[in-house]
Amino acid sequence: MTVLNSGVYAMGAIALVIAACGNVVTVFEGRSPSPIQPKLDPELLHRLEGLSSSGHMNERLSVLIRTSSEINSDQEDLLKSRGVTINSKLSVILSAIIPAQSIQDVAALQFVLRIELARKLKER
Amino acid sequence: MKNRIEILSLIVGSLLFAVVAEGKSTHPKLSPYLEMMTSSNLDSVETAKRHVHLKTSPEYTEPMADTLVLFQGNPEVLEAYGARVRSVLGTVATVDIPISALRTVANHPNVVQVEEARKVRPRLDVSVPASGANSVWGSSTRPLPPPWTGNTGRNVVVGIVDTGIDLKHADFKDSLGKSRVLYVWDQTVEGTHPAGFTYGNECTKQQIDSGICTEKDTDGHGTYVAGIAAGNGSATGHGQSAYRDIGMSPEANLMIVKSDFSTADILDGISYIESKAVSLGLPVVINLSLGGHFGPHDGTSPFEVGMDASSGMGKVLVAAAGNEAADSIHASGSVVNGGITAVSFSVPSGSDGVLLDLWYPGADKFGVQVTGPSGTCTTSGFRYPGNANQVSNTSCGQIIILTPSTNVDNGDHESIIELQRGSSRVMVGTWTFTLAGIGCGVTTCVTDNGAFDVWIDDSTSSAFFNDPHADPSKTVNMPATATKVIAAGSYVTKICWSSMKGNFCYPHTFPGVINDISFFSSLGPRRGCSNTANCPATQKPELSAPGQGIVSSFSASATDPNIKDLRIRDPDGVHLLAQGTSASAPHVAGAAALLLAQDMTLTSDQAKTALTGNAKADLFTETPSSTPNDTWGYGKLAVDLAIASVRTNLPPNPTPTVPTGISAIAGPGSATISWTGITGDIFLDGYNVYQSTTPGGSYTKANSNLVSTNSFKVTGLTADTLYYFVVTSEDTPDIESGFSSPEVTATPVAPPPSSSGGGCGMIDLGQNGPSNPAEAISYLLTIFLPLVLIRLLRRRHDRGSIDLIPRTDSP
Repeated sequence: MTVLNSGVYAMGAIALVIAACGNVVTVFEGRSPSPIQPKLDPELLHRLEGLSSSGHMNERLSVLIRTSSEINSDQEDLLKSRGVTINSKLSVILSAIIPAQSIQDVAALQFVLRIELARKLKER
Repeated sequence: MKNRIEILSLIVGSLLFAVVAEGKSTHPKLSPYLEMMTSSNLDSVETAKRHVHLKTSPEYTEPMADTLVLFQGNPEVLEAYGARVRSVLGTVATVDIPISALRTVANHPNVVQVEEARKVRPRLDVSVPASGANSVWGSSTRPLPPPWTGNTGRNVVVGIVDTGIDLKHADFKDSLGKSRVLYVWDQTVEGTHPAGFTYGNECTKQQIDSGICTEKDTDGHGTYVAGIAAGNGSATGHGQSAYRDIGMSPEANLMIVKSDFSTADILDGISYIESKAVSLGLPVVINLSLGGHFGPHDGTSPFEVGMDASSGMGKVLVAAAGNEAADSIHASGSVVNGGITAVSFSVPSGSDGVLLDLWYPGADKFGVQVTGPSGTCTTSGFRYPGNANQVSNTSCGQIIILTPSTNVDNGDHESIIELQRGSSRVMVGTWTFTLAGIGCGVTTCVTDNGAFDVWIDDSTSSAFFNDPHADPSKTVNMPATATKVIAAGSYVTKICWSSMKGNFCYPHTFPGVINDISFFSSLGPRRGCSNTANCPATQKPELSAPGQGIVSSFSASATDPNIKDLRIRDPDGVHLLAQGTSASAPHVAGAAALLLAQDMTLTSDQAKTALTGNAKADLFTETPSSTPNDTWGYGKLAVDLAIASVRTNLPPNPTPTVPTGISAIAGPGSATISWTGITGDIFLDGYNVYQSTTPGGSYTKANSNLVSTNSFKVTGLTADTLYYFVVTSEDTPDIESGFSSPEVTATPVAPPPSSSGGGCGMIDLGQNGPSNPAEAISYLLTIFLPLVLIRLLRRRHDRGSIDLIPRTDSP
């Protein structure tokens, strides 16, 4: 799976330049929280900010989705219509690929409780 | 695997002195064999040479004995006699001593005792018996070669999600040389996607057996892990005997997923393996010798919940607890209302991606601020839950603070701090993040207990926390923290080993006491959470298993110079030594496979209960508190006891298909039996052909080895006798189908005269022709390349030449 580079979120950002302990610190603040933000893993949200600012919202992200119950065929169709490719269905957890621009739409679905960006683990 | 390179230092522990050599020494300080080395009797010297490792080197003017010296005072005075002191640990030194100086050195007042360094055998032949596995295989107290008559994991699938496998390694082949790996899904390359998935390349067993599967384990970790769980130990080399390093379930089937270690891909791998096992009607255990520290550590993340969803009847997941007990990747503390708590952490050089993941109760609200080394680069203000993300480009690097609102899964607050290379590299030094229990406006910041836990994601950096907040507890990594996953910690079963480069022991910087917990083995407990229903109290780790000094299968494709180092390579060249809870987990996974081979209906909870309820306790496990505790879990793995506690409900043997489409064609003293090849039987090993001269029974097997093609020529038959033939198919492991029906018959013709044999261009058709020699007879031969049927005409008195006429009529 492709791991995307993160960037700096610009949409609605405020740029501040302040002096702190003699070092120039540039601060970018993301937009205010939206109602669906609690459904998004903060790392995913940050990734979206980066993709938005760099114009790469067509990138496809590997994610885990938690749903309120095992999805039925109608719900699966709703996900597919938003560009979601489901790889695995493990009860209420889906492993899926989602175009970045569809994340907000998918998160807005009532049966979607949480979307988490896939993370890298390491050998032990 | 844990710090492979560290183990290469040459420090020898005094434990070896506990070994007493046979025989008597006349020199009070020399061991018997060293004494014999100084003898004038050549036979004695030759005998001693079998026990004393002699080292030669351009630096040495004569062979040097590889010894351990117990000393008082300074051992380096021995170098005046030509000895070379290699390393010192307390009052023990490893010393190369010239043969001619052995007595002189021994006579030195600083020397208490001199003993030859001895070969030891730290490998699966120690760890597997320690886990009780070999006693259920049907062998005695030590691993023994097959055939095994007991429980060896037959008809169970062991799934490995890791770095791949060396498919050519003999440890993963059966007695016929066929692969025990039923499927491989290489997620890291593009090719034929498995059904239902959109990436990777799948290899079937047929492709694996035919050698066209391109998967390779260039890392070596997956091969090593697979060998512990299910290697059969048949691989060897360099004159070493086979079956010294037998895995826990040596006859289990294997399914391999080569992963890039993304959480989504790992779940896909689990889903893939389970669906394949279900389609075969077999129970499955999946080993996950992997983990991470980015997440809540409480069982509530989608990744952890996905693990639980993958567990069930006949489906068991086992994961490495982690190797971070001594790495200071976890810190804990508390924030009082109105107060501030500063936590410091160190960023070593080369860290361009440090990630800290902070969790605390949802009822509390902390402000977060970060300061770089020497008090520079402080971020602007405190960030509170629900604040927008903050990205600060500073001269210390880019600092990102994410403070989302309450986590919907566990009801807690999470704050993420990331240090990345921005316009500047991440500054090396001591950093601080400050948690504020003030600034929440009209709301009280701390209404719960103010406690927090924070982890450094060790997959991206080697940063670590400093005192006083560094805390070795709660270092069990995810997914081992998932409720239904069995988390395996590591204990020590050996500290010295023999290798292709000689004998080695762990250095004092890599401590280990036999039977004690490995210093690196991650500690529990699992973190609690605000939504307690989603994170029930669960013992982590559950079990401890051997994980230090374990010898297992070596991937010939490995490219990492550490793993290829001959100092950790077994003398056979095809196994290597490593350590880590990566080695512990497959001991437990292999044990779970043995359990499922005894009762395929066990749920993951029942398997866990059987293993934890029968874990062994000793003086080590009961320290510092009685089991279950956060160090050992319920104790040491004892699969023999666990198996005795479950009922018998064996998984099904494969059901080989009865061959069909049988035909028989008589030949001279022979008959060629053909049948329709069986497809779709993944366990098919081959076919057997049976013959009889009476219908309906008394068959004798005509082939000595399994037939791998779809026809077989039965020879040595009596001419003009009616023979009856049937065919069976045979599945791994040695399961045979019923006889094909109906029987087919053939009456062989007489074989050619004794001068038969034919020459160049001659086909001998036999000495006893038809009753009327004037009658031309026809033979049918199938010539495969090219595929044409020809008719052979035999003429009277014409044994030396024949006409080959293309056949135009239908056979």
